[in-house]
Amino acid sequence: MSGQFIAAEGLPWPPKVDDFYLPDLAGPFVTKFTLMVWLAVGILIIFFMASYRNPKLVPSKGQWYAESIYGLVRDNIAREQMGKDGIRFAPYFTVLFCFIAVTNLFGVTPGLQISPNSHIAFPIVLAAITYVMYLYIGVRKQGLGRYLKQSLIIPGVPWPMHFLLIPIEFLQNFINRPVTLAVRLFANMFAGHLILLVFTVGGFVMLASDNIFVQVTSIFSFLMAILMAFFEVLVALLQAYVFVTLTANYIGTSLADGH
Amino acid sequence: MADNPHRRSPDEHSSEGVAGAVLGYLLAGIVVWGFLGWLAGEFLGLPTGVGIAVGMMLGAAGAIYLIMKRLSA
Repeated sequence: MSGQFIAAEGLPWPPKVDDFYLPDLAGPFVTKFTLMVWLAVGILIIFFMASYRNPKLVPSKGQWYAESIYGLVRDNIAREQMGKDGIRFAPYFTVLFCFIAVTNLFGVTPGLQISPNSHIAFPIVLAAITYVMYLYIGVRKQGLGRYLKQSLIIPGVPWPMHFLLIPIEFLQNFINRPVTLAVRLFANMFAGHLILLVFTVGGFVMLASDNIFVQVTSIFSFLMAILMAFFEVLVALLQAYVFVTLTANYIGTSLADGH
Repeated sequence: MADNPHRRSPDEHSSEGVAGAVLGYLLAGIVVWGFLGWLAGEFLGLPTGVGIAVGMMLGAAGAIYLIMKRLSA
């Protein structure tokens, strides 16, 4: 009964994980996610071009927003994590932060309703860029041997302990870091989407019930969906911040001088 | 963290980085040495579970030692 009601609303029923693999829209490999990523890139290009096309000493509103975001990333992320070396990475971090924040916020944007980052492929690409970047920067700055030595070998440890510690350091620095970076972003957006789905669809199912008390209770489900939508805004911005902070932290570790 | 990744400056606020590193080291230690212990146990024909148990404890101990060395002031 309730299944028919939901089907009438055009929702896939029952909801499955497969629903996160969207169908092609316009040719192969072009899904809703692809279009959303293009949209995010377009929004960011237009926003930053427009706000800096005619920069003034006393900034206009758009310029003020752009400068605030850049200032936040430069001072609170780049300089905080990497010291003054971080300033030259600040433009990349700003773009990364804005891109992740915008794509995350698509999850609560009416009409779009899902974030590309709730598909593991997108966080994997972002984490791979960070991974290649900190490995490349570390090797270029210090040379392969010294970089590996600094990453794997702790100074001031009796030598038999190295047998115990080097495998741990290797797993931590070269495998755990990129994996957790990608999975953290993916899992947060995936879970956020599921929470909204549960409360919204659950509300409709309760509304379609025969029992008047269950129908009344659906109000709480809808209220919870609204509350969780605001919570998702917070999570979207927080996860963008965490991703960029950790990227800065890893690159800072690669740049650090040896001992 | 500008000049030394293994020393925390007193004004550093990035508890996310440090907390993540502590948890990561512990997990990494237990996983990698648990696996090596299991491998050694299979290879040496020890009773089931002995190798993996010893390996995991060794890994946890190593990880705690590593955290003390890497992350303490």
